[in-house]
Amino acid sequence: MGGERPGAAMPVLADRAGAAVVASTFRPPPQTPPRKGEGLPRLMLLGEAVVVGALLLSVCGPGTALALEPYEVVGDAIPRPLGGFTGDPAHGEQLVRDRERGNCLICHQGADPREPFQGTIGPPLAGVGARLDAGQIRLKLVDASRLNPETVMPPYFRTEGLRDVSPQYRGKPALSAQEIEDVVAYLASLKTP
Amino acid sequence: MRWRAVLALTVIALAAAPATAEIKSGSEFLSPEMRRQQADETRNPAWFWVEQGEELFSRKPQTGAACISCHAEPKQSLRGAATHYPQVDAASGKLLNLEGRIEQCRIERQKQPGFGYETPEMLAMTAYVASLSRGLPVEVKTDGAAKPYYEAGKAFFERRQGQLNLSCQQCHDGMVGQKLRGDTISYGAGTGYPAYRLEWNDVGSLHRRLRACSLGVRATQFDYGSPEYLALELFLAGRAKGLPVETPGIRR
Ligand code: HEC
Ligand code: HEC
Ligand code: HEC
Repeated sequence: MGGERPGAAMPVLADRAGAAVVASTFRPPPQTPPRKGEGLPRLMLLGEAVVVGALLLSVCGPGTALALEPYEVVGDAIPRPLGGFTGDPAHGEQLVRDRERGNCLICHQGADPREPFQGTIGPPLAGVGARLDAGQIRLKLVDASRLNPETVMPPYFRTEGLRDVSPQYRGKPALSAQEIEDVVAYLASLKTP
Repeated sequence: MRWRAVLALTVIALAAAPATAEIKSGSEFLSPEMRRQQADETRNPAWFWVEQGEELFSRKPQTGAACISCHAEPKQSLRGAATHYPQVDAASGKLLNLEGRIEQCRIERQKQPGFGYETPEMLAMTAYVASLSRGLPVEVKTDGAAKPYYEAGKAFFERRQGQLNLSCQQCHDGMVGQKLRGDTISYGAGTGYPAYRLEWNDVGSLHRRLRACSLGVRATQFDYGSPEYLALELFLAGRAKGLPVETPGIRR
């Protein structure tokens, strides 16, 4: 499963182009190994996770995720933190900006207007903590399609019902339960529009 | 009554008008400066590939014929050829895009080892042959033998995929004109390929662009020349019917 073919740039051509190479905007994420604990429920010991994973694989076939922390949707929200984790807003902010992990600003305008090249596809994130409470933000991140089946907002904590997921991401949620909580904590703190 | 006459005329005019696409080319979404650069052969780096393709087209391999010995006067004889691709190959019943047809001639008629997809030779040759159709409207067949391929491409375009669970359509129909980071989302017409992309600092095929979009939503990247991307290419071309071929394009 190769990535992009490495650019076979010819130096002559680069000169002829004469144009500044514009920063990538839709760059494929590099294959960074996950941080320790990411992608796996942190509460589980590794051995248990493997057992659960093996069970799931044998029951549901290949491509099925390790068990995600269960959650309960109440109305338009998930009131309780995933896995009982406490969010770290500073790390949440990093994730929102990070071009590989969260990459939210590809579609959203974030709270910092100095950030170059922000997206215009989703609503601006400034003031989102005043518009929505933590539970509502959590559901938007986990799986916004539960509220609007046509939504463009990707599901960040879901592994089921997805098609043709690239092998490197298959069976994993885009963000771990801890990361979701970090982002929720950060967004809930954005009170001023 | 006069309005009836006007209406009738309008109906006739609409019926007589050539099929024009309702979508716009990707270059309409570029900055004016990049559009000028694309149009200017001296400033569009992709012309370098076109020139190399032209040279290769006349070069006689040690054994076997040069392309030009069968395709004399290519500026006339192959003008418009690219507008009909992808098409179903009558002999094999398979869908071939321009790269596929060139490779077929290379192997079966020129009796040479294939160029291979995305090699500098294939890119140069495809850019050259497509450039001979510049300005002519895309005119692919989507019915008859092509229909199942077209339908498969359409289904691919419309279904959500990847970890980010987005369809091509959600971006290239639903969000046209919106900013995805620094890019303005276009219709995904693909009429400028092979194109020089600044991000690649190189010329690349349409399938290379498709692989970038697949990876963008964290979906499976299909192989260059795979049946999946060929069908998708036919659907995109069917959607772009009536738009002029722009190869060689420049893109961000
Ligand atoms: C592909 C584009 C896209 C990406 C990437 C994206 N979003 Fe969204 N987001 C949307 C759209 C469109 C909406 C509005 C539709 C909806 O709420 O279902 C939305 C809605 C939201 C909302 C609700 C806002 C409100 O005011 O109702 C939040 C919160 C949010 N996104 C956060 C995020 C975060 C955090 C990330 C990154 C982890 C992210 N989004 C990535 C497109 C995107
Ligand atoms: C998250 C949004 C998104 C999705 C989903 C997406 N693309 Fe793209 N695509 C882009 C962006 C951004 C560009 C670069 C700007 C442009 O030309 O639209 C692009 C470029 C293209 C181009 C080149 C257009 C040109 O003229 O240079 C084609 C063709 C294309 N996409 C086809 C597809 C297909 C087919 C799919 C589905 C497999 C797809 N895209 C999925 C965002 C997306
Ligand atoms: C021995 C003669 C011969 C040689 C050499 C040859 N071709 Fe062809 N080419 C043909 C024939 C015959 C066809 C028509 C095939 C068909 O329609 O089934 C054709 C078709 C084509 C087409 C499609 C034209 C259309 O209108 O659809 C292209 C493009 C093409 N050749 C390019 C090339 C290139 C590039 C080379 C050199 C690498 C080459 N050919 C070498 C005989 C040749």
